[in-house]
Amino acid sequence: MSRRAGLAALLLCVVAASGCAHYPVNAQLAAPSGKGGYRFPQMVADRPDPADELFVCLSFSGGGTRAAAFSHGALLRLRDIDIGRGGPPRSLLDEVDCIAGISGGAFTAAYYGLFGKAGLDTFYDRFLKRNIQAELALRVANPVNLARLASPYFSRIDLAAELYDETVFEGRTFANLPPRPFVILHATSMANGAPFEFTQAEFDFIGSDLGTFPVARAVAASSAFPFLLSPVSLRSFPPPAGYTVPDDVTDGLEERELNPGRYYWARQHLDLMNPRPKGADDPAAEKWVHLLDGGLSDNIGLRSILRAYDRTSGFVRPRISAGHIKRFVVIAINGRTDPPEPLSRRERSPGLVDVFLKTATVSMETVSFDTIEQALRRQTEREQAQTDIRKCNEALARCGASVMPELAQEIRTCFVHIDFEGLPSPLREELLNYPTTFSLEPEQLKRLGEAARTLLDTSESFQRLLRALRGEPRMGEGIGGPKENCS
Amino acid sequence: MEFLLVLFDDSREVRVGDVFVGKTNVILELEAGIHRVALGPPHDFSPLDQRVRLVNTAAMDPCCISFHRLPPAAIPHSPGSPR
Repeated sequence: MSRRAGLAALLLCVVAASGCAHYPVNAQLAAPSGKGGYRFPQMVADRPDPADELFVCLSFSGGGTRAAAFSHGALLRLRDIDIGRGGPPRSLLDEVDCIAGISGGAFTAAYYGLFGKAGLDTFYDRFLKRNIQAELALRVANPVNLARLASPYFSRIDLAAELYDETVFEGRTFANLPPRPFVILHATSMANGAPFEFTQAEFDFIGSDLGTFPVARAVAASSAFPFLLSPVSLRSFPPPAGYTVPDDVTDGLEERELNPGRYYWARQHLDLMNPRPKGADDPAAEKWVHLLDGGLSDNIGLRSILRAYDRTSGFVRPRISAGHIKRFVVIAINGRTDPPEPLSRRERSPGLVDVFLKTATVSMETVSFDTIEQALRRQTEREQAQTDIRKCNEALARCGASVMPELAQEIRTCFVHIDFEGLPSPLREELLNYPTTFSLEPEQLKRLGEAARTLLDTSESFQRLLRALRGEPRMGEGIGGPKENCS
Repeated sequence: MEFLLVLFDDSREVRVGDVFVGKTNVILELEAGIHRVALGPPHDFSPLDQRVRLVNTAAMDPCCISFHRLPPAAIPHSPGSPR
C-alpha cells in the first residue's frame, strides 16, 4: 500500500470513528415507574421502620479531591463512633439514611453508596491518591479518543465518565445502589440553572429509567466544572402512557406569591418534560437536558435534603408526620476554601479570563450560605413549634382546661455544619488555601482526613448529639443551662 | 412551614394526592401554599377532598378543616364490591 493510500485509510478510520462516537443515551421508560426505581423506600404509615427512628442525612460539598478526601475522613470518623449504649457495638455510620453529594463530594457519596463500609478502605487507592486530571489528559491525547472527540456527540466529559466508570465505579448503575443510604447526586440544568437530582423521581420527568444509568456518568455530570469540562446530556423522552405529574407540582403551580420556592421548583420540573405527541400528525420533538457541575446550584448539597423535609412528596416529611422519625440529624461536610483574592489588589479592571472564572464560581458561595441558613431556620422553627404546643398544653392542664391537639411526634433535630473555618491556625489557613483540583499530595490528603475527624470531635453540636445518642446527660444539665440543639 | 389540623371523628390517614401527610386530629406541618387534602380509605367521608391554602398559620393557631362521616346509606358504592 502506498503512503498516500495509507494516510487516506487512516483519515477514513478517523472520520468513521468520529462519526460513530456518541455518548451513551439514557434509556426510555416503557411504563410509569410508579413507586419503583431508585427512590427512598416507601413508607407504610402504620408500620414504622426501626431504621427511621434515628434519621441521619449527610451532605458532601463540592471541591474536587479536597472535598472528596474531607468527606471520606468524615465517613471514617462516623464509622468509628459507637452509639451502642453498652450493648452490641453500633456505628453511627450504620444509622446514615441519606447522603447528598456534589461534584467532588459526589465521588465519596456514590462510592460509599455502592461499596459500603468495605469501600472506605479502597477509596483512597481507587480515587483519592490518583492524579485524575493527568489520567484524563492522557486519554484526551490518545489518537483514538482525539478522533472520537471530533464528533459533535462526544466530548471531554464523556471521556471523564468512561474513566470513572472503568477505574472507580466498576461499571455499576443505579440499579446496583442499595436503598439505604439513599444517595442523591446533584448536577445543574444549563437551561434554567435548577438543581437536577439523579433519582427516579427526577428521571420520571424526562421519561427515563435511572436504573440502567451508569453511576459514573451521574458523578461526571455533578463534577462537570464549567469551561474545564463539557456538560453531560440526557434525552428527555415523552412520559410513558399513564404517567401523572405529582400533586405537589400541580398544586405548587397554583400559588406563586405565597411560596415562590415551590412554584419555581414545579416550573423547573415541568420544563424538563417533553410533552407526548397529541396524535399521529404531531411528531414528538426531541428534547435534551444538558447538565453542569452541581455546585452551580447548590455547592453543599443541602437543598435536596431540605426539599425532602419540606415537600409532601419528600421522603423525610411523611416519616415525621407519621411519628416514625424521633430524631432528625443533618451533618453538612463543607470543604469550601477561601484563598486570598488577588483581584482586589489590582487597580486595573479584571480581564475576560478572570471574569469567566469568577462567573463560574461566585454563585457557589452565595447559594451555600443561603442553604446553611435555611437548614438552621428549619431546625429552630420545628423546635419552637414543639415548645409552644407543649408549654401551652402544660398551662391548660394546670388550669383544668382541655388541651389542644399536638404534633404527631415531638422530634429532636440536629444540624451540624463543619468546614475548615473551625480549625485552629495555621492549619485553617493552610486548608482554606488548598486548590480545587482532581490531584492532591498524600500529605494534603492526610491532613484533610484528620481535619474532618478534628472538626467533628470539636463540634459542640456534634458532641451534644453523641451524648444524647449514648444516653449520657446533656451538657449543662442540672446546673440550669438552657436546652440546646442536638441534645 | 405552615400548620394544618384535619378534624374527623376517628383517627384516619390524611393524604395530599396519593401521598400520606399525617393523621387526623393531630397538627400537621405542610409547606405554605395550596394543597388538595383528602382522607385515606374507607371512603365514608365527605367532602371527597378539600382545597386548602395554607398561609400565616402557627403551631398554636393551625388552619382547621373537617371531614364528616357519611351514614352507611350515603356511602358511594365502589365498583366490584358487593351491595
